[in-house]
Amino acid sequence: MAGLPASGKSTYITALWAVEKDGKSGHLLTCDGLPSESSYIDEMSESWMLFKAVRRTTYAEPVEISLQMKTYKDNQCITLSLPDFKGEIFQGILFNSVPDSIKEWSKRSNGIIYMLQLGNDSPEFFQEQVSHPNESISTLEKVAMNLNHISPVIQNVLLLKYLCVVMPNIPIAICFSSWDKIDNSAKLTIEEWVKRNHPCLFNFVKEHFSTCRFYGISAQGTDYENLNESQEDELAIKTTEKKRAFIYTDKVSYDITEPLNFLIQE
Amino acid sequence: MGNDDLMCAINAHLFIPLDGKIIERLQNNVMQLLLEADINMVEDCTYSFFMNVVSPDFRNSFDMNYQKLYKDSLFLPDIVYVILEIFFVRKCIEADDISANVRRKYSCVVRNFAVLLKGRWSNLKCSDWVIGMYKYSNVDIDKSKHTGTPSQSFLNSILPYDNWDDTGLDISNINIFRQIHDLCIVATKNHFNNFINSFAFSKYSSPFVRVYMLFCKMMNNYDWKYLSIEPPKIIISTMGKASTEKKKFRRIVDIIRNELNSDDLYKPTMKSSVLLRKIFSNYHCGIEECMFSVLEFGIYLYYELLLESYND
Amino acid sequence: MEEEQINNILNKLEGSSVVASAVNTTNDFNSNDRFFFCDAKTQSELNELIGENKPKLVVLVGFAGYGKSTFVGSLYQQLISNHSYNNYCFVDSDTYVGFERRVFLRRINNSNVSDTKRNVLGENDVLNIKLRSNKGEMQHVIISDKAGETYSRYISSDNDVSNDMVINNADIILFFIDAELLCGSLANYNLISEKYKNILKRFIALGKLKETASYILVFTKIDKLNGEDYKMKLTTRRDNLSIVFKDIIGSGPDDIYEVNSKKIEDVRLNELFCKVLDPNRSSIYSREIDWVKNDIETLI
Repeated sequence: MAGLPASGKSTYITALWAVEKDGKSGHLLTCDGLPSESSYIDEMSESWMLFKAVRRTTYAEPVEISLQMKTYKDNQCITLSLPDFKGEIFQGILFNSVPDSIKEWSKRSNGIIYMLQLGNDSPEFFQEQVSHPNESISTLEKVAMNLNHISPVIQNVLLLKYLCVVMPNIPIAICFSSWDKIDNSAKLTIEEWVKRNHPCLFNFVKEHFSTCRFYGISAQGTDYENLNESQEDELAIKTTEKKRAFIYTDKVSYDITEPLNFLIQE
Repeated sequence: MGNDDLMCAINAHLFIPLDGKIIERLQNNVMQLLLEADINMVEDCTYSFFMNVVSPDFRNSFDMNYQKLYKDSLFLPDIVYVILEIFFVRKCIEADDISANVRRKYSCVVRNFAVLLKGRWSNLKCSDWVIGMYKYSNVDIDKSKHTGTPSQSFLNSILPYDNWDDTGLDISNINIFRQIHDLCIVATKNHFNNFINSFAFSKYSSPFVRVYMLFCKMMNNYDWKYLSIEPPKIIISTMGKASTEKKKFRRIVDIIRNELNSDDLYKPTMKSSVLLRKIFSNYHCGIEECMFSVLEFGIYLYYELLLESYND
Repeated sequence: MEEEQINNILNKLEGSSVVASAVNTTNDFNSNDRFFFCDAKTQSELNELIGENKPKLVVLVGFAGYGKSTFVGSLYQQLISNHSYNNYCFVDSDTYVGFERRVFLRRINNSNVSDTKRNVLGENDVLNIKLRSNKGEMQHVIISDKAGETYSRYISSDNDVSNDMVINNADIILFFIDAELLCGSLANYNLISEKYKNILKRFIALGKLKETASYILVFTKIDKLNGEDYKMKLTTRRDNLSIVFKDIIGSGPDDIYEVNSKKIEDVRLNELFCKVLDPNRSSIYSREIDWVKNDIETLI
């Protein structure tokens, strides 16, 4: 699982666990038994169940999550290892600071789920003026660029660039999180949407990753802000029916294991 | 070939030139690699050069050897490795201690892989070097030694008799051997001409198929190597106006594969037999959209088959 | 070996910073004074940007505030925002952050901060763009966008000019002139003309201008010229300046552009972008390389 801070890595893992742990989803992949130790993901799963944002990962070292899964098609058993890195670790790559844990995992990985949170095309980074209401211009003695001055899409391209160098020829599933917030009234397929809204990212991925698929993902199912009681009840029903978290390719699917299944098949 | 040649070739493709000392080291390193040179390495480097990529095997060997020689590693842009690949091939061809046959084979490899650049010749680096390597492909027949025509007196000393003993001729005599050799050349030419003239043209509708079968059968059946063949002349004399017909290579391959049985297809062993391999196994070679006339196609085929025969 | 190759690539992308003091050991990624993965490169790293073909090198020459970085920022914006531009897809760069700096600079410029206050740290000058054509061919362009202050030093110093490694390798040089300044007072015009005369003379004297290099004059900020008077002044002074260039270099510019680099839809601006991105003309090759054609022609 790779991605910058707040890209939705932990939320996806949480939703995956919450939906698949009983092994009865009928999805492409589902859990085959409980891991011996699951306190970390159970804790996150509680937040997910109660419509609270999954807390940000804070450990310096990745939490290694290992799940026994089975495939729907042929009941094949697979051990899925998903290290949950905090996004700041990946962000460090943008500053040429790569911890050993990343180097170690990059040697062992068979696939990447790359999470990113980019909305519809947002050209404000190219606006001529960015207002700084709290800064008076006369006090700007020296202006130096920091990470916030690099457009979010390019931050992701940089991270993907790093990954394609250290893990060449690896299959990758690129997942746009918070898909519930995306305006796709034009009903574009996910590829068409990426091409239209983030052409630079699209072109980069197509050039560098021969085995790649795009997905829209909503691990939460909806925005938790300002949920009233009846909305919460509705969401609770969807949770029970395993119709809350969803992915989008050319249509909505409630099987959020599809990206994992894609990587495993490759 | 001095450092200057290599230096000019490399520095023409860099922004910041490499200094003479580094060039000298690169050259020395290549010379060391020559000790392990064989047809596979030559094919690998030539192919990579024409495709404008760096062969992983060449890079590894070069880097490891450099490390061993100079206890140092060097970062080089890929373009330098590409130039070193063809520099290595050229050195292999020009080496003093190889036989004429080996030199011929290496030269044929270069000729044959050159088809990969058809239509994109301006992309080629170090074209002077490549042109210089073509000339070693041809079979050298010392015509001053063998006129190809036995004397009438020699013929008269054989014809009346039924066995060698009665002729009284001494087989160990070099002049007698030469006369016999000339006789063989005449007979081979005769067979060859009969073959050309009687080649079953009507059997194959496409001139591309005909030229393919013509050269494949020729290679398999005749000692044409000794006849100073000029492929364009053979093609024109047998195909006539049809030798100017043009098609895209993928279309030519389809036609040949449709018209011939799989048993009729020549199975190449050399990687540089680009056209033969494509026809035999339909692999992707990158020149499927290139146009070939029957004449061009035939000439490329001839040299591929020539190398195949050298390798038998 | 493979690990070594990966490390070589990463070292190349991590690059070096002109400002050694920018190395920071804090973990605060929002602090300033850090240098980035895929930042602009220095001219000593030019060879590292060469892959299997020598890229096209475009050099932007111009004094501080003449609009070079705005031009680069706008070019970058076009490439980022379009799946296909000029029949090319922008597929990669080893200097994304270098471009982002120029965009950042463009925003800072607009806040009317004076030159002394918009000093940006770690500003290396070499940027690269990798494009894939619709036919699948790769096109690689390197752009040198040095700070204007560098060229101000070149006016007065042979040593600084000698150390420049990009001008003599350029396939195309864009000389930028601030049209607003040019059409201001006569004194300003004279100063611009004098500055360019001096710098061009040094380039020529030190053999920095390649005979095969093409050069273009780019007059920027034309949106600031309101009224017919200014436009007439621009025409006259532009032509006079072209003659200055021609007299010193020995040939006139290949083209002259008047652009507003901030107006992305500007037709002439986009024409100039295409000129920057288009591949060099193919070199002529020797007939003998096509040995089959040669054999056939010999026969005929």
